[in-house]
Amino acid sequence: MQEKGNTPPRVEELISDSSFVNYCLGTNEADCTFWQTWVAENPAQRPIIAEAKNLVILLRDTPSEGELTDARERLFRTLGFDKQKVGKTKLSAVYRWMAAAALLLCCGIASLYIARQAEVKPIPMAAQSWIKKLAPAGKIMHIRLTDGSLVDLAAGSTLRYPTLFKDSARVVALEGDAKFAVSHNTSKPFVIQTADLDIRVLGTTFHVQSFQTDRYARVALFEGRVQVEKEDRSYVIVPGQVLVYDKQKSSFETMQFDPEEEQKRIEGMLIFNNASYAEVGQRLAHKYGIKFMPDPNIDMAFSGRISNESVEEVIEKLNFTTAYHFYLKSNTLIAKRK
Amino acid sequence: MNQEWRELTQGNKDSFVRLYDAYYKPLFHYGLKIRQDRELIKDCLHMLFCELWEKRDSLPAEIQHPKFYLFTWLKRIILKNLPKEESGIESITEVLIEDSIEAQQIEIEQLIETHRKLETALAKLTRKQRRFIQLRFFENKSYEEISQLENASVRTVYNVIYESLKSLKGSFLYQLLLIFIFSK
Repeated sequence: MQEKGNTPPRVEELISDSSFVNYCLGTNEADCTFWQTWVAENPAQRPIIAEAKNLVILLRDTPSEGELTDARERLFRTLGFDKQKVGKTKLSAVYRWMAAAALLLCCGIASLYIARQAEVKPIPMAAQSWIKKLAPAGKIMHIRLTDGSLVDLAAGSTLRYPTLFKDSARVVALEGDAKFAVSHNTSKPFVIQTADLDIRVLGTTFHVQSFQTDRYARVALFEGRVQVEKEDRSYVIVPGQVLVYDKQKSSFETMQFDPEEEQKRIEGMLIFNNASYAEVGQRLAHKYGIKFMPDPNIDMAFSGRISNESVEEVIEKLNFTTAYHFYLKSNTLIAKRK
Repeated sequence: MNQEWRELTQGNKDSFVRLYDAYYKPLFHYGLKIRQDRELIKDCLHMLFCELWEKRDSLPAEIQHPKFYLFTWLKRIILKNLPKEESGIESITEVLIEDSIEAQQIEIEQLIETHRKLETALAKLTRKQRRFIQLRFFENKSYEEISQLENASVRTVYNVIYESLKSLKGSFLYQLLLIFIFSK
């Protein structure tokens, strides 16, 4: 606070004074009291005080460049406008960044446990109405969230999200696989809650695989930055790295990944690595729309890849490589010891 | 504006974008006058423009004052989306006690004009000045925070902001006075 003598203060002088700004915005009680007293003692200065106050409030109520860019991008994304065509020149940099930040997040796969008993995390928001979407077997469901983010929800996966993102973070809950293209909004981080991990991003593109029946959860990053959280543990990975969470051992491992293989995973290729019957069966049920009953008596560890094969071909593969005989009866997968 | 509106109702995307760019800031400011909640206002503006685009075919092609139409539409969306626990009688009456249509239109006109002038005034600043003003006022950062962010001394930050304000003041203070007299 500066001593104000008899010379009238200039507007720029007032506004450069933080205590005056606090007074205008009502953010500091002591400053408010000081300036209220000052105005009362210097009634002649009222017009200039009013001018200065108006300018402070005008500046506060103007969106910043970041806010403008975020809002514009969010709208055009929601409306599906061609970015190049409608983007102003200054925005093109943002879109380039967006493209670069395309990050791919792959959590997931298969489990030795019947992880059904694992509880779905409660969503920490009351007083919000939520939408729940379940993608049917063999289909990918396209969902557009109210912030402009796009979600491709994979077969058999469930996404829950609020009708409107009112809180300080955009929180959604996922069980299963989904590819996210999150619209950029620095003031509202996007958080995906899965049964095991929380994934925190500011705005980018990624793929999540997080079925509870899967043994591993994977997060593979192409560009940008992502933070993965589990209870008090938190990991940040850099592009080219994949974070693998082993649910059985409750351990994390970071390694390099092959981008081509990662892309195939996004497109629906299943990669099994010593997978249990529950994991294989659940994945096949989602991919081919067949039914499956978990059976803890079936003890197998299947490794292999499945991309474009028919369900019959897959069953044949299982028959060759395991100690069980598999077949379909009434569209249900059955396994019997050979 | 009327022409843009007409073209919008015919499905012209460029006109829609022009309307958006021309009115986003005054609409944002107007929204904050109804409720001082930036995130809520941003969401409401998003809804407004989504609805505007989706309903473009069914909008009347000839409106006398399309801009007032936009502002009123925004107000309706905001009132609808106020947090439930807070949209009690008190706040509702506050919003319902409205000035005459004419007074509202003058207020809106002046908001638009103020933002046009602010834009011109900001454009006259150097890039550095603009950035500092952004940080200090639009993003409400302290001198200390700006000094750390921009790797400059607090004194420098102060001086840059002081000079910027002086220039802004010169550009349009008269206008400012007017508008805020009208809007309490």
